Amino acid sequence: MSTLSYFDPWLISYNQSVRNPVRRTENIGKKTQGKNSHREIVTASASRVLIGAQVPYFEYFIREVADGGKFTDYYADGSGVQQGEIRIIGGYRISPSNGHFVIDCDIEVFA
Amino acid sequence: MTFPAVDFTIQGYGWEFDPAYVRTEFASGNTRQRKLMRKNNDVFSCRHVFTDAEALTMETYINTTLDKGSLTDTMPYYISEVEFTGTGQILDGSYNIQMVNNDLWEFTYNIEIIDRDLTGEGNVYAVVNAYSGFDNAYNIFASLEDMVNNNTL
Repeated sequence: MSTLSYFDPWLISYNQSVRNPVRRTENIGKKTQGKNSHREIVTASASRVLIGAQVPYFEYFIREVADGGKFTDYYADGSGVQQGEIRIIGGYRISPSNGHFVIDCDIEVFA
Repeated sequence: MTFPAVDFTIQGYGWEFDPAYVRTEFASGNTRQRKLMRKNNDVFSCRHVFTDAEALTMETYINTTLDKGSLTDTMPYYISEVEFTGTGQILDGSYNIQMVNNDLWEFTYNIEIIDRDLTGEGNVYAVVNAYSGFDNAYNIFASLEDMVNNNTL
C-alpha cells in the first residue's frame, strides 16, 4: 500500500487545537450549550525533515496519490509516536536547512 | 535573451504548493475538503549573491525580456538540489536587491512555475515502492545493478 510511513513521523507542535462539537444557542435570554455529535476536529501545525529522494517521493504522494484525501501515517505528539489517519490542510512549504528539507504544513488528525 | 546562468544551490531556495482546497466544517460530521482547480502552480523563492554585472544582467532580463514580469519564459527550478526547467514568471514582477559587500548584491525574488511537471517525482515514487521503501533504495548500487540488468526501471 502506498504510504509515507517510510519516513520519520510528523512532529506536531503544541499549538494543536481541538474543536469540540458543542453548540451554544440563545433563545429569549436563555442560553443553552449542548453537544451535537461525538466527533471532534483536531488540527495541528506539523513539520517533517526529509533528505534527498524523500522530497520528490513526498510531493508525488501528497499531490497525486493522496490528492487532498486522508492517508495513514505516523505522527509524534505529546503522547509519543502515534499512527492514524491524517490529512494535509491546504498546501505545504518546503525550505532547505543544512542539506535537509523541512516540510511545514497544517494537518487534520482523525481519531 | 534567456534566463541568466545562475546557481540556485549555492545560495538557497524554497518552494510552496498551495492547491486551493475548499474546506467546509460542519457542526456534526466530518469536515469536507475539495480541490478548487485541477491545475496548480508552485511558487519558488530564490536567493542569489550577484556581482555588479550579474545583478545588472538579471535586472535587464526581468525588466526587458520578461517585460517587468508580465511575460513567461523557460526558467530553472530546483527540487532537492536537482535542476528542472518549466514555464514560469517572476511573481508580481518584483525583486529585491540588497548590498551585502562591496560589489556583491543579494538578489531575491519569487518565481511561479506554471503547471509543474511531476514526471520525475513519479519515477522516484515508482522506484522506491518497487524496492519496498527507502531502506532498500538507500543501497543505490544494488538497486542500480538490478534495474540495469533486469530492466526494472
